[in-house]
Amino acid sequence: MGKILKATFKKNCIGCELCVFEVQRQLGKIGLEGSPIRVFREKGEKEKIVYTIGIDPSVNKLDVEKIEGVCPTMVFTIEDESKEANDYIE
Amino acid sequence: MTTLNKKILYINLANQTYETKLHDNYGKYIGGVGLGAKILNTIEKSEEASVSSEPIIFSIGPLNGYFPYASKTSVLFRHHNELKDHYLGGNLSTRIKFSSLDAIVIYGRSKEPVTFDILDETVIFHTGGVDLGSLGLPGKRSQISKKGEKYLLGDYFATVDDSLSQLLTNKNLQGFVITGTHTYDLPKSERYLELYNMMLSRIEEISVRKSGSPSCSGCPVGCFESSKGEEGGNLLAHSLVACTFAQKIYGDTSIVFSCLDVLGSGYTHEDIENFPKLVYDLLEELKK
Repeated sequence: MGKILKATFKKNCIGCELCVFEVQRQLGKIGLEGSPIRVFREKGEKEKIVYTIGIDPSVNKLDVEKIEGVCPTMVFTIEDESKEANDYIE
Repeated sequence: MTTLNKKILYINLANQTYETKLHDNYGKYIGGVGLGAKILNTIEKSEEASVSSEPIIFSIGPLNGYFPYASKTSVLFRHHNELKDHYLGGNLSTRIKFSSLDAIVIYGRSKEPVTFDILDETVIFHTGGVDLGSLGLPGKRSQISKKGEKYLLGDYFATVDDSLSQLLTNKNLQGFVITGTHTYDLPKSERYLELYNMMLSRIEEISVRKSGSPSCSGCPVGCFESSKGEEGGNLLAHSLVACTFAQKIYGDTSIVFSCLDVLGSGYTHEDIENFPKLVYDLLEELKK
């Protein structure tokens, strides 16, 4: 059964980009270009800095447990592909 | 990979021109404050140097982008003739690294308000109103812009005092954006990943508390102090350019040598051991 990486708790993100660097290491490179995960900065309410996370589905071919584990603020969760499909039907 | 050659982008605000130079004799200054000091010393000794050029040198080190806690950018400049070495958090260091640059030197003064947009080694100048937020590539950009009287990186990360802001204001520079799109091959040695994971696991040795605040690129701590910037401190750590709160890790020459060695940087133990005195002497010369 396939695993799907989700940024379930993205409000926890502190913008450290360790997830981006982990993904890129798994792809054999150092850098930001071509990363299946991107971290964007947004301006939230009361000028608070908030981040959003863009995830390309191609990330699920990688070691998603390792990506989930590197995040210091537990932004990510991993779900089974079948659960994702059931959620969609509901 | 060798880090002995240093690639520096020189941006002249007075005539809105730029050029990139590869210096093959700056290697022993490693990066950060060491490299910044060498650049400033060279500029001030050169025949073309004039007081009005007032260079501001943003520089990074060989470990930025490769190892955790090497997350700062050194900013070296003179303010009212006093030498200032400041360290800025946020994501600027990785954007400079992924632009394949070691330093950016901004000098001269624009006659009109100006901004610029760096994409790797290319600079585009903008005069008149331009929305800095519209420049650069999302997820790969870093932005310094004016907010009130202060210049902030990403609207959040500041330097320790207003001296840099005053200098940037005097230069008529409204702000700038840098986007880095270069990638480097992952170091082949398995030792790289071992070192990376070992250093990441030493988070408890970082002398600042987690606070859930915006963090610097490559640092998992997210401390409240990240917004304030740093000034002075350990010359080796600030040449890499690591966070001052990671001094227990980056103040250790054996760890630093291992990191540089695994990247194939070409430095010897002696280079690292002799480095602090080399840079200390250069900074003292600059302070005279």
